[in-house]
Amino acid sequence: MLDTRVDEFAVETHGLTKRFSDEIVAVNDLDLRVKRGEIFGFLGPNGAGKTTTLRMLVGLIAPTSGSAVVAGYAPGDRRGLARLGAMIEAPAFYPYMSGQQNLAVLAKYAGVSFDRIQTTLAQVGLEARGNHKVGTYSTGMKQRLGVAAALLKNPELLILDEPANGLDPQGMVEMRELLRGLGDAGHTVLISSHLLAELEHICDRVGIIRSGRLIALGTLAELRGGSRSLLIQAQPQERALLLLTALLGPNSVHKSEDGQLLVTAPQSRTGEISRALVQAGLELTELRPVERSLEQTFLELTTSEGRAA
Amino acid sequence: MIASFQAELMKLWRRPAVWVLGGILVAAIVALGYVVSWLVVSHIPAGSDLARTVRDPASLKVAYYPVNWVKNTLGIGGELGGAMCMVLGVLVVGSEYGWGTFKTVLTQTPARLATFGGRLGAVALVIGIYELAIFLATAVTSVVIALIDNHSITWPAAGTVIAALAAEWLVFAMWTAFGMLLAFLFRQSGLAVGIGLVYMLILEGLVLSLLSQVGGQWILELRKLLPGTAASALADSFGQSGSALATRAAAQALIGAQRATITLGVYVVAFCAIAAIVFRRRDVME
Repeated sequence: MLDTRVDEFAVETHGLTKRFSDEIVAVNDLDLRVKRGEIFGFLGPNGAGKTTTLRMLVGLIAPTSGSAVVAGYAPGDRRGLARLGAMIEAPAFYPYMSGQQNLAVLAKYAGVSFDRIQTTLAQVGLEARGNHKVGTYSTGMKQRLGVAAALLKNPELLILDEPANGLDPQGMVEMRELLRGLGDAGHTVLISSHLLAELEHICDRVGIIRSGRLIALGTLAELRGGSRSLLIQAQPQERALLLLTALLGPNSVHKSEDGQLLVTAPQSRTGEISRALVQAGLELTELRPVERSLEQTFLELTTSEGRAA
Repeated sequence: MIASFQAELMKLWRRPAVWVLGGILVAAIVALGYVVSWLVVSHIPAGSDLARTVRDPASLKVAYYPVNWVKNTLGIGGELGGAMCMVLGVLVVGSEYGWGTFKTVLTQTPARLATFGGRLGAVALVIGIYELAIFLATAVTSVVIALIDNHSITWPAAGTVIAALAAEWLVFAMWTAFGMLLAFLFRQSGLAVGIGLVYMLILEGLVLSLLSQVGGQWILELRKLLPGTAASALADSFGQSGSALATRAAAQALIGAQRATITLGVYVVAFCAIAAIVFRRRDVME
């Protein structure tokens, strides 16, 4: 029967928790929503709870409490799994069989036509080594095969755990292009990583997890904090500092080490600030928004008490 | 279930360890059960203990002729094959934990019980192939030995052969299920093989046998409930092996063939049921 379920979210969790013991809470009260058709980055340092979360989403482990809906169904439901492909942690295959044979076994389990095998091997650039034994593959090749296995069902939702691990720079670029292409083709991609650079160029939204808790969620621009910082160069600088402090408050104006003024203010006040400086007879030589790098944001969030975006 | 069975069979079919294990099993049974012991009986050194106790070596050699093919194969094959099948059962499950491939499989198909059932079916087929190879190899060897000794070739009745095949398959299935259960419980191969062999060879094979000599009736009653006793009793119900190297004590006296069959069947079902529950309920962390 044709499944006509259409939900806004490909993944939705409510209070998802996994407790391994009284001391070890791997995932704590996680509320996560991944919209259909987006590429969602699930970011966090090692041991933050990313893989445990993904294992719960595909039904490999049962949550201690909370609930999740994945591809329209509870994790582990056959109808949901039929619509998702996943690679969790390091890809694992039968070393005595070739990549092609491994995919054939998985295609048989999934009830997928063997025709898909060559297509997916080509998608990940492994067609030339497909008939070689997996035991002879490099880490990067196993990673590609893992992604090929996840693509076998041509799923509407892809869950990939650190897919760029072990890839060389060229391989990382190709992986990014592949994922971007999947996103453009309408697939939902949930991709986890502890490497910001891996996600920065491909994700529509990012969630940051630390110690099992989601500490930030939003678009990359939102996570960078928008353009709330302004860099100002005006002469004489001491008069500019006094004027801006009077205008915006003492906590909003800082002098950087290289002598520039950094002002915390919404971009909407840029005109007001520039007018005030010029009308006071100051020579305004530079006024521009300063974006925090995502790297900076990530480090701030994951090394100090996080904020919920 | 059928798709899982086909997938499991693809894996087992291509796995060298499965066929190396089967090859070693067949070679060991032919060597120990036929070739070596026939050579010993054919060339008894003068002055040896065997020479003093055996007055008519030709009567011993009858054990290796086709007429005794079934009971000799069951006598040697049941025990050795049981141990090898236990190892097979451990391998087909324990390696998946070692390689981490359960997560790969279970993200393709959600039905853990179907996967489990498919695995059982594929392993059942493999042990059937083992068994046929054993019976075929020992049949050929017994014919060769009979031809060398200029002895007539007489085969056991077809019904006996079919019953023996069924009996040995049941014994193999029980030990394979035992091995699979251990691997599911310990989530690895090494510990499971170690514990399985210790149970088969040391605990049930040696300790309980020795204790039953001195421990009284309750140990005998306990032994009647154990899988190894049932396996031996079923094999012995076809007649005791006359092979010179057949070392196992007769278990036929403890329980009869019917009870042995029922006991083995119960163990197969119990081992599989517990393994299925463990597999279904446990988190897949590997």
